[in-house]
Amino acid sequence: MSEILEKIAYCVEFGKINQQSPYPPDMKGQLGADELTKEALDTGLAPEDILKKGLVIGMERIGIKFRENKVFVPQVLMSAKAMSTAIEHLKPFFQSGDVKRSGIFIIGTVAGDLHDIGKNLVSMMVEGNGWEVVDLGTDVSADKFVNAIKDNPGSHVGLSALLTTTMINMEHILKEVKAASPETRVLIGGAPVSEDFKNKIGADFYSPDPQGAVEYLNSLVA
Amino acid sequence: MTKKESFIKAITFRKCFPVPYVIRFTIEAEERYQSFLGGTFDEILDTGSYAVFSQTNSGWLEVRPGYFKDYFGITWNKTKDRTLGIVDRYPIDKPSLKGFQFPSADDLPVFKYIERNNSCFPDHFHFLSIGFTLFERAWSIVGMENLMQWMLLEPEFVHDLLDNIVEYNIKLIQESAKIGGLDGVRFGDDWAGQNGLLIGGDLWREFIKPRLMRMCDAAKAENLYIGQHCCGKVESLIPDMIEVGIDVFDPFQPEVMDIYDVFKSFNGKISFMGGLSIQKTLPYGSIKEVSDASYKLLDELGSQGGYIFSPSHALTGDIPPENIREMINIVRHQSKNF
Amino acid sequence: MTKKQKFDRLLNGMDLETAKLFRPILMHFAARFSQKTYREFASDYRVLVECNIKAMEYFDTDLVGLISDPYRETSAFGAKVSFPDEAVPKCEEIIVKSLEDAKALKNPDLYKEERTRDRIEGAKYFAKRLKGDIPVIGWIEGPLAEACDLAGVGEMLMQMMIDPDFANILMDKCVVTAKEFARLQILEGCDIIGMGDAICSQIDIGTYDAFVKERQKEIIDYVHECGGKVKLHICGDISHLLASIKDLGMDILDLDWQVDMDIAHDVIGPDVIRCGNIDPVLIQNSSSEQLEIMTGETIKKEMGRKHIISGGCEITVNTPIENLMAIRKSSN
Repeated sequence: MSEILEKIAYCVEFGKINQQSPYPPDMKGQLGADELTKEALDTGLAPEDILKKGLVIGMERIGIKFRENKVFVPQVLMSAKAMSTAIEHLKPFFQSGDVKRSGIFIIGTVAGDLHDIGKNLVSMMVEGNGWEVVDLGTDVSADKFVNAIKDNPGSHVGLSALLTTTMINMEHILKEVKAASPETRVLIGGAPVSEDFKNKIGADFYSPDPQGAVEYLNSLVA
Repeated sequence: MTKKESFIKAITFRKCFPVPYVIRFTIEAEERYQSFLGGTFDEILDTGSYAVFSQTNSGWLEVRPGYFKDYFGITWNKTKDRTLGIVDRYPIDKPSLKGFQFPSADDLPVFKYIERNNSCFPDHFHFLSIGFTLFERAWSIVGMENLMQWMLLEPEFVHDLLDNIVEYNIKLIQESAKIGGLDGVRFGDDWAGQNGLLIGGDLWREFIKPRLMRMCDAAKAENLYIGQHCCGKVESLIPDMIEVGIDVFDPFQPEVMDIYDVFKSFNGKISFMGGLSIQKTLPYGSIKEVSDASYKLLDELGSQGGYIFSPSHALTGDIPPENIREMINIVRHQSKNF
Repeated sequence: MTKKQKFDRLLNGMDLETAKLFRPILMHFAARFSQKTYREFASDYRVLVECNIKAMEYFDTDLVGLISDPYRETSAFGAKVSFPDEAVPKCEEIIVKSLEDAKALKNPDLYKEERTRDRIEGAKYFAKRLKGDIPVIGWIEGPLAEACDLAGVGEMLMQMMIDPDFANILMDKCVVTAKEFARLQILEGCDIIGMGDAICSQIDIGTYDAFVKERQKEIIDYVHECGGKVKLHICGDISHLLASIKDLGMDILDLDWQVDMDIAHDVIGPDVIRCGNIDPVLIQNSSSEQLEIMTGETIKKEMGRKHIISGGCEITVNTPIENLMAIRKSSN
């Protein structure tokens, strides 16, 4: 891997957005993901390589650290921000078809539940790992999920819930999704959700942390 | 012995029989339970709870159906979750306090609740319950993602924001104490999720801990016991909570920590309130499982002092009323004399 | 006036010339009266309460009760109890056979154990059904009675003589459980706690004073602390114990037919409500006319004194309905 890709990965891993950003303090004044991505494109590196050998590697590392409780939400947010700043430079190549994303992931907090931070974390990590994410927001009904799948063929779906009182709505949404599109994989997560609950309602995958969702999605396209 | 005396005895690590307990309901749970009983239901009288809570998070103005404005001018959408709600729009979207007015802690509705609880429940342990104390108050103003990023990018702003909140809280504690009748203050601040701390120990110690200590000092100056509510996997902060002077920690969730182990590790230094799972046992367990878990808590923790029995949160609307009734019956009828 | 108010007035020494309260002990009789088996009556609080209420309404009794059999606490302590269809539940085993057993015996968690929980639920159900209008008498075993249930009557009576340690250790535990059981029934709305310690009629006053008296008093004081009144029930002849019993501070004293009500009044004093004392055998076997006469005589004697008309002990299952009714009618 070229030196610059490793630098990009490092910036994403440690949340160094751009040269101006004061965070992290020990990288003060250094170039961030923003400048380095631009530089990499200018030197002729393939956009796909920048994405998959730079940015995604950084996101993977932070995802694993998050899973291991070595970093916390603020650090993940910084990484995601660095990632998304860099991705702005790659957008034209996505549109032109030069860079292929791994797939489309539709995510939302289930009907009755308005909590979104957990859903947002998963969304950022999945996006940062080279997927296109369609975020339906909170309090999302089964219909909305089904329509989004129709609009995005071949996509997979993530359902989030914070409360035991709303977690039960996952079962209904899952049924509707599977009825409309049996091949769509449905991932579930959130504080009260468990492997047992996943088995009970027949969802495809559960992970207690976002990185698990990323790894599962990647395994589908490997 | 009054309920207040029992409660104090337990949180100061003395063996106390019956084991004091606190049972609280969300609006949804209370409505469901009441209709199950087919009559009126009073959360404090009919459960026999040992503590009353005068809450700052109530007496809000309903600005349009289902939307409520709190004292900080923040509008909460309670159309789905009627007890907690969710912020409708954050008043600050740039790291600047310019134009944002912090409220003054005079003449708040909670002062009336304190008086009312003093006269209705003179024998109960009386908490001033400050919901959304510090971290939560800050993110309710700027949004959680902004707050977390700004802790790293704009630390000066975040320090400033938190200082303002602390000033307000200290004034609130002092004004409330003037009314008299309070036994404790309970801070409500969720610092953790199911898997661990939201901002990690380092940022917590930088931004939260020194201010928590200031608030604890202010409360101790008023001779109040201090409760700290924090959901999630927060075990790693317990030594810090002990250091700043927290007396009783809740909700003591069995899903995120080995409560028996934690109790053993810290017994005598901090007391615990909670322990009966509202994510698993109460909503999904059988009556027998609720009964077994309740007796285990009473027998193994309650017998030692330093423990207040309670569900690991206010009861939620998905819990079968039969399970709630079983739990209430068990704690009301404790007869095992330790 | 509700029956509760009527009872309160009796407690306060009011209406003694005009009102007469009626509380026969109804167990098997009440079950049969509602076409229920004794097994159902003793094992399901709903049945017990409904049978009591039905009898209370029919015979216009002034108090209702939770009494059924002696083995609620014994069962909670761990003894196996069986339920014959038409007899008082039977304790299948003696669980305290030695000093070591007595020492090892653990006070049970009364709400956790089925039979004690059933009575507590009964108290709650009474409160719900009667809404506080009728005084409810809860029930506990006295300390010697419970010790006998656990160790066997013969054995326990002997142990008081040969191994006071054994007797004291066991009875101390019985006191703890008795107090707890009383407290929980009061918590659920019982106005009065009946304490049955029938075996006391079989011991001498010396032994009673040495082993029982202070323990009964401790329980009675505790019931008062919890806000309840106490009805002490010792069936059989307790004439020889009255001089001691007068110190206990109970509110109501059940007296069996062998005890002379006048003497009891003189010894115990006018403040205690005496409850009795027509011979249950006569209640079963006499004609209703004879019963009217007997009742009339008792009432005449008790005029102006605190008294509740009742049989000396439980009304037998075979008592004709009209006999019980005759007592009620002639006591009005």
